[in-house]
Amino acid sequence: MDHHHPLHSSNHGSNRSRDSTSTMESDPREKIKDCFRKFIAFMFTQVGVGALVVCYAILGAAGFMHIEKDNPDLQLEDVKNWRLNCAEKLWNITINVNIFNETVWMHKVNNVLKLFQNNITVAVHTGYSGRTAEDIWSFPAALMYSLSVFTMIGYGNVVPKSVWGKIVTIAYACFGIPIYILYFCNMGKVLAKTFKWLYITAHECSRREDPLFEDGEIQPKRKITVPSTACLWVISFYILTGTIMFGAWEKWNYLDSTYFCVISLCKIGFGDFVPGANISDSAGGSHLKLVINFIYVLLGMGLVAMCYNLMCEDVRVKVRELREDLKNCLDDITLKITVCMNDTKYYHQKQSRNMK
Amino acid sequence: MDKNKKKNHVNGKYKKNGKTDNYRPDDDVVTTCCFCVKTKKSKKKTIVAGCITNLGIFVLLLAYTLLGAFIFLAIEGNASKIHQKTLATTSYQASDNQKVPLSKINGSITQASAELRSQTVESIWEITVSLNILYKENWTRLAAQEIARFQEKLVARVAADVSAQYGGARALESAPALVVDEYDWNFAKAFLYSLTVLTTIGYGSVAPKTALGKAVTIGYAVVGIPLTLLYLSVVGALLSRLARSVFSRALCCCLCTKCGYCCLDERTMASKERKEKVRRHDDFRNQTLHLQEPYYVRSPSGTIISASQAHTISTNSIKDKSQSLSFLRDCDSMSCTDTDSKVSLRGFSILAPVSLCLAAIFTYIFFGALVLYQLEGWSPIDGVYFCFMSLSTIGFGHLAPGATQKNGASSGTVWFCSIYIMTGLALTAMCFNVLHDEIVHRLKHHEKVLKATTQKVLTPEFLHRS
Repeated sequence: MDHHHPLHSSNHGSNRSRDSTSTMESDPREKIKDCFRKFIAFMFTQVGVGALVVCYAILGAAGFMHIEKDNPDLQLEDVKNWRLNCAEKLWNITINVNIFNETVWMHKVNNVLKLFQNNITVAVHTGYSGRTAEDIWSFPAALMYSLSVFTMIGYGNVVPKSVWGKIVTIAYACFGIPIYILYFCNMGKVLAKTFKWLYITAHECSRREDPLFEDGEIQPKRKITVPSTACLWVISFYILTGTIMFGAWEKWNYLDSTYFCVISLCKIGFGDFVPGANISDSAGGSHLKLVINFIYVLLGMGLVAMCYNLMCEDVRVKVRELREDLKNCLDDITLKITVCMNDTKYYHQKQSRNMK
Repeated sequence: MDKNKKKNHVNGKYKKNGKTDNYRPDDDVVTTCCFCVKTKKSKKKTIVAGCITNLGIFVLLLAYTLLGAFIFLAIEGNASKIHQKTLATTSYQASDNQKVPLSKINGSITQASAELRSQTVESIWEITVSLNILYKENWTRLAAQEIARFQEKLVARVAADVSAQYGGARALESAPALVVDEYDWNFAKAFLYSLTVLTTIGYGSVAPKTALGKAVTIGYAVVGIPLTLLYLSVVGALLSRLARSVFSRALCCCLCTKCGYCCLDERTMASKERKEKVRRHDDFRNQTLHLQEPYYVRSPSGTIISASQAHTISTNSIKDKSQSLSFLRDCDSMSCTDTDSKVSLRGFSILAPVSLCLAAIFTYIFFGALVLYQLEGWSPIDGVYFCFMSLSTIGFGHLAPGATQKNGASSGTVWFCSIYIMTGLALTAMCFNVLHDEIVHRLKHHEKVLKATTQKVLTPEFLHRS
């Protein structure tokens, strides 16, 4: 009876479970909960998270654009005032100096203009670029800005100047960083799985070609981990692509492009090199570049996450192997020592017995 | 608790009647009741070991940062002296607008601007001559147009010159007051710079200009960032464990004095579990003796549990079953949630450290903002903004220390920022760990509740049938 029970109860258990779940599902609340759970599960998959990240970035871009566009720029006002002052002074010169004395007039005008020039130069050194807030905060620039906030890169070439902008940046970062971390982990997992599968397929293909293993031997299936060198190759290749791309577009030399790629992918983001943000660049061409940069950075982050995942696994396996090796080594040594000691003891005993 | 299980299994000591267990009564109670604190020696050892590892990694990181500071000072400090001679050093006095003192402008730019200037003068002269009667508004308007044209060309010229010299589109839109100040690399700035590279903050107000500096930065970052991540993970785990134990002890002290809520419950719970464990032990020993791995490792896979579950269903009551099932799953000390009382205690004790951590971070940010207000005179919003940007490793850099003062930051501010960043990141790591644990615990708890309810539905029905 006891032996009968497990089968009996397990069958009944499965029947029961089916019945109970069906009864549960008919309950509308449970259905809604189930749907909700499925939705959450989907959101946690790569598609959902990727879409969430992009939507969040676009939303942030629109928001920041709106906030910062209307911000009165003090420097522009100053420059305008200087210009008007300059014109005033010139007028005063014109009506005071005898107009037929060209050289004197010219000399005075020259001085006034020189003053104006110095002011402008200083202004340019302190950040004036002749572009209004509206020009600076175009949509691609705002997109790059929100990207650099929640990916924690933080370029800093475009920053909010208004108080509201700063407050909204803080709130945006508070919500954006968890979303980004979710994306990072998810993307890393997915890419790691794909890459591992690719690597294993390639590995097995190359092994199948080896005639030695075709004898029907069942090779113990060892868990294959992707070596760290493969990950490093992938990252280097990606950086190389970036270098060539940015070197060609931005006319940076190759060291600068590599520097930019590494600094962006490491999330340091100095901001001294930002593609498409060059002041002397025309506004039109830089839009496409900023979008490409956006995609490059996001994809790059995914690759970094993948490498991080794979390398963690690899390091863990290696450390475990190392530890086992060390333990075996240690055991061997202790064994040898004890054997040696026993031998010497035996030898000494023999000696003493012989002597007796 | 799992340590005792392990010990039993390894030593092969299976007591039939469980009275002489090596299960100590204060195992469960150790972290919860402040009055019955008897920290096990092994726990103390792990904490001490953790502290030592942490300290070791911290020292290593500090040494690495100092090394980086020296290297960068050597590379960029020399380069800065060369740059200062050739740059356009314009000192902008905010107080007097009238006098713009000597601007030693670069040779080529002087030439270009002189040309532009003379062109403008010529064109204004032409305007003046061409108009017969000079009306102020008319003439002024035309002159202003000419000046605007001059200004545009001048700005373009100076900007091109600046970007050519600085080798890139430096954040001129947000640049600090003086570009020249960046070149004044002293040791404090170099230290802050290497710290920002390692922690991936990357202010950018202090950035490498020489090619060698850039190459060294790349190498430095690639080696240093994993080290920093390791440090942060270790210190975060340690601090979060510490925070949680301190908090649960303090909480239990408070609760104990009120109504003995936690202590009593823990004890009754512990005794109940002991009885159940003993009974389970025998059954399990028979089933798992032939297995390689201990059963508690196998529990996540469904097969063993279901076999034992099917076997024990017929012989035990409902209460035992639900307890034993969840007991056999992942029963580590933090997330063992058998009955509701324990769940609520655990839930409560884990939730509060989260809010405490968040409060700690807020206080830390405000503290930083306050100090910066005293030292640098920044507005509170700017201070909070800067502290937040630094702690979240975003690091825009337009408000970086020393950026707004003409003669370079006082070293005190720079050192304060460095120390602030280092401790702040440890704090952030701790909060992150606490949050992560909380979320994982919550998810597990929900899973368990879900499974428990489905099984509670199951058992009465077929117990009736059997």
